[in-house]
Amino acid sequence: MKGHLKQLLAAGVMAGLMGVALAACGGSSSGSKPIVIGISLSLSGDFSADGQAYQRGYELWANYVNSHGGILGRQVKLDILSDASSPTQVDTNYTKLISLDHVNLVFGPFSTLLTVPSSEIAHRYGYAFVEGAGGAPAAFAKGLNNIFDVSLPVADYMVPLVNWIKSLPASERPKTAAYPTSNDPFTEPVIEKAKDLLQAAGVKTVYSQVFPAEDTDYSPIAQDVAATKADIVVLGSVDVPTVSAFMEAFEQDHYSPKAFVAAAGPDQGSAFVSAVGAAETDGVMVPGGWSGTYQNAQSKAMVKRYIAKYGGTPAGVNADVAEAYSVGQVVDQAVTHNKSLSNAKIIKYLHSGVILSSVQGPVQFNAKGENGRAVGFIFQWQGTSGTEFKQVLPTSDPSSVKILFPKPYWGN
Amino acid sequence: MTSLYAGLIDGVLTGAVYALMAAGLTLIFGVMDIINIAQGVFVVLAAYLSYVLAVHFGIDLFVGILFTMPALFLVGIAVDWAFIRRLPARDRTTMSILVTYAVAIIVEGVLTVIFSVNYVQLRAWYVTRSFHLLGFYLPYIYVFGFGMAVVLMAAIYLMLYRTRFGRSIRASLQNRQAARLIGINVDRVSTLTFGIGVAVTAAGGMVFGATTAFNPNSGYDLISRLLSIVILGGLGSMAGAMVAAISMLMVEDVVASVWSPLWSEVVFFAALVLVLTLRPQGLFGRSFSRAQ
Amino acid sequence: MSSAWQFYISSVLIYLGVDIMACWGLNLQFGYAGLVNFSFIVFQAAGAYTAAVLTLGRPGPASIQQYLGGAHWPFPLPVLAAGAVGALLAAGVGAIGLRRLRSDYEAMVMLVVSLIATSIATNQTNLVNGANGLDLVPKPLAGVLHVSALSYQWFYVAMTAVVCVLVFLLVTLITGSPLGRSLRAMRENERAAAALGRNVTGLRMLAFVVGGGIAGISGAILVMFISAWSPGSWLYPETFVFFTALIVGGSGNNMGAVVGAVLVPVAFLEATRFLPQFGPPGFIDAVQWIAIGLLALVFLWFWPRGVVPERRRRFPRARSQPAATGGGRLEQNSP
Repeated sequence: MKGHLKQLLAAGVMAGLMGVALAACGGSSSGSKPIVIGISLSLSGDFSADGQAYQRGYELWANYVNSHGGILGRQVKLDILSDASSPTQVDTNYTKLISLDHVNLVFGPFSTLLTVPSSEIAHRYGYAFVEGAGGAPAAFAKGLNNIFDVSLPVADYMVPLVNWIKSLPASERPKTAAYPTSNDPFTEPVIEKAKDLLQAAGVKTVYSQVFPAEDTDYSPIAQDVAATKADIVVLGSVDVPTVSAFMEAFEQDHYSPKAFVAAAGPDQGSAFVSAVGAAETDGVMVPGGWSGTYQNAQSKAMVKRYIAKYGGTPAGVNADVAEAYSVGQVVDQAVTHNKSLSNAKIIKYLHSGVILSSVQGPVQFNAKGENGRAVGFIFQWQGTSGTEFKQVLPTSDPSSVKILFPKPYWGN
Repeated sequence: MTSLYAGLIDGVLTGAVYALMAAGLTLIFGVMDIINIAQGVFVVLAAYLSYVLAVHFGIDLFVGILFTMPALFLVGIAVDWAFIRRLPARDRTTMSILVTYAVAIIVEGVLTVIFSVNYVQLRAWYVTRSFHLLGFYLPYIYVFGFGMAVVLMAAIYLMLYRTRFGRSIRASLQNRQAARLIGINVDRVSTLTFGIGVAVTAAGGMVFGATTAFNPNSGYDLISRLLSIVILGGLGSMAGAMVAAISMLMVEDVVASVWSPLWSEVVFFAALVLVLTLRPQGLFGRSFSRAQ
Repeated sequence: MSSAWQFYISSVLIYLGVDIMACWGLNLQFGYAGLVNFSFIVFQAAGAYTAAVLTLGRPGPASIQQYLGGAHWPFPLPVLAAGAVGALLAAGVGAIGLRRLRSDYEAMVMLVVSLIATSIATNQTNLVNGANGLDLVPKPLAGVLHVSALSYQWFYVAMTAVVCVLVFLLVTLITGSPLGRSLRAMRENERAAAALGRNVTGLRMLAFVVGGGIAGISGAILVMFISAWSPGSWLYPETFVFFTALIVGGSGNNMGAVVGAVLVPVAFLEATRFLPQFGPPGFIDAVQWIAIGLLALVFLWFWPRGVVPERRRRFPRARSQPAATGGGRLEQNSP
């Protein structure tokens, strides 16, 4: 008898929990008809730092749009699910967003790794898939017509650096280079291309190894790089801790390359500075299409609103924020032009060769969906304050300042 | 050749710190049959405590351990009181994994709310500096960390083998029931063991935070190393934890240097499987003292 | 019913079928044989990868995903192969991990097996495409059937149900026979079972291998439905969900495993999915896991035998001292 009571209670607990959940579900639908945009972001897991920066970028854009009358007179509502940085969860999330939540539009997740499977889901349902963080060749390899990356195509990231090295007089030109890279679809194309181009320009490769992305201890790898005494180090990193581990091990080995470029990490603004220490950042370079100090009216306005909301300095704004924001802007322009939320029309419009504007500069998609207008820059942290994040390359660009070369010794 | 020696030296220095973190895990497991999945996140919690002391109060990292160890001891006692001692006797080990995982998630969540997911790293003059010895640069932090780990491991060893309390722990480790029969308060010993096992992560966490940039998620990668060390070293064995941790780090560092970083973990795991095939109880584990 | 709801409900039913199979597999190992297999999800993963690789075909040199092998096997074969691979892997892991270790030590070894498997699959990128995982797994018979997406969903539900029934027959073949009694006897008291002439090592291996095979089949059904699989989908905490399901449903009996699968992975996790996002980022994710841990604790505390307790076996002359489920093991675990 007592056992049965317990069973009933147990079932009751479960039923109660489900009831609460269903009630919460019912309560969330409302009478007005906002435009619902479905997004899956890595709010926990390996990419959570980037995922949360993306969330800020998308929300900053949505708030701006909503405070300026919305799109087609309708308010914008973001339906954000967390994918915990898992490619399988990202599939499930976009399927749910499209088939169950009936979102009007979808925006991309963070990183090529998650963009590839999710663009396929969107394609299956005929949704336009505009994203800001899936620029690696793998994202375009399938030839889907619905994928559009507003950011700089990844493979060309290091091209300004290569051109600059080629332009140096022979006496100043680096002789040797090391290329440690993590096994990631984003970094490997970047590093491969940089290596090929620099080798062709006569810079000898003295170290080229791939290391696992999930490592916790990079010091032996960094020590091997330090032992080569390479003139420049081009690091294929995806995140801040990798960069910081290499920097620390280099300093411990009294090794300071003439130039240190990391594929990603130093572009994360204050998140980078707080991890490695402000003084250590002096001279560290990173490729990218945008920084918080970018001289563009839209960008300046966005940075101002970002700082008003989250604090910090322009140099401290994560480039992810601008990437996400640009996605919103591009879709906004397409929908406004079409006067329709039809995804087919958005795809057609974005493929028409029209030039759109974004906080990252002009956007024009080529047949693959890459932003052919995007210009690559190299940025460099200068000084020991951790607030001076300067565009240094290409030298021909009027906003570029003088590059620090050779890089000062760590922490001076 | 140099990179081989560098790998070996690194392995010894960093291995000792991992041994210290794993020592807590193996002690808890040996005495209580509890697999504390939260050990990894406690390391991260300790690193954050050191961070707060260093950044907001200007307390040196090594001095800060004097505060973080007691703090983590209390955290351990609290977790034991709230969750561990409430575990029913049936399927205790299985359950401990599920429940300490929930604890790990709770701690991780609290850390995320307070510190955000952005990475930080502990800073001090000895973190980035090194001295030159026999052709190698030895980072001060590794040497200091190694020294501290050896001292603390020795302290745990002395406690286990030279004190009354240590005898009670060892008795409980060998046979709970018999220990109870000879008048040992096994529950109290368990609680204190859990506290001590968590407290030693404070020291390990400080060195971890000084050598690696970390965020609240970092405990996830750490736990896999700690568990591997415990099963390689053998259950409840301090010496086993030390030997296992150092050989693990050496194997990984050397393979990364002379072959490829992509293979370093695989080679270690292959070695682990080999050892388990030959000695299922691990390097220093007693065989079947409590087998069914 | 609107098509969106049909779509959703059919998806949930497919997940349910997969989870029920997995719970049966784990129940055979844990509930019947007392094996604390914390690497259970690895066998599901192995099945999923097998089915994916055997349907995707050979990767071209320029293909965005690289993996070992590759073939275009017709429909039921990849599922059977997945079961075979799960079973073979279980035989290998069992040979090393099940050598009469203390059950708690066994739990830890299995947990480490799970971590090793994740690390290898992630870092050896040419094995199963590393962290990116496999994607674009074709749907079985989709090319033959020519039906709408929604009809296909219901077809898949039916197919999952058929596989479930077959797995159930396999499981009851073992648990309903004298073999099942031997397994339970071994769980309660290994030494006594051995003394009574039972081949304890063989029994443990049998439960482990069959459970691994079932896990592999469930993985195949899952991956052909979601069409993507990566190390992120089978991290070690996923195994915890199945253990919690067994604890909640009642381990050691197949109905309990079904109830557990309905309540925990499906009802509980699907329910939290409907919660609106609130709190700090990642909050809902964390709450799910906290709830899983606490749910298991609460059940063990108040309803240690689960919603559907294992049926008490009555033996004619031992009515006053029924061979209760927990008793024997309780004494063993805390001697």
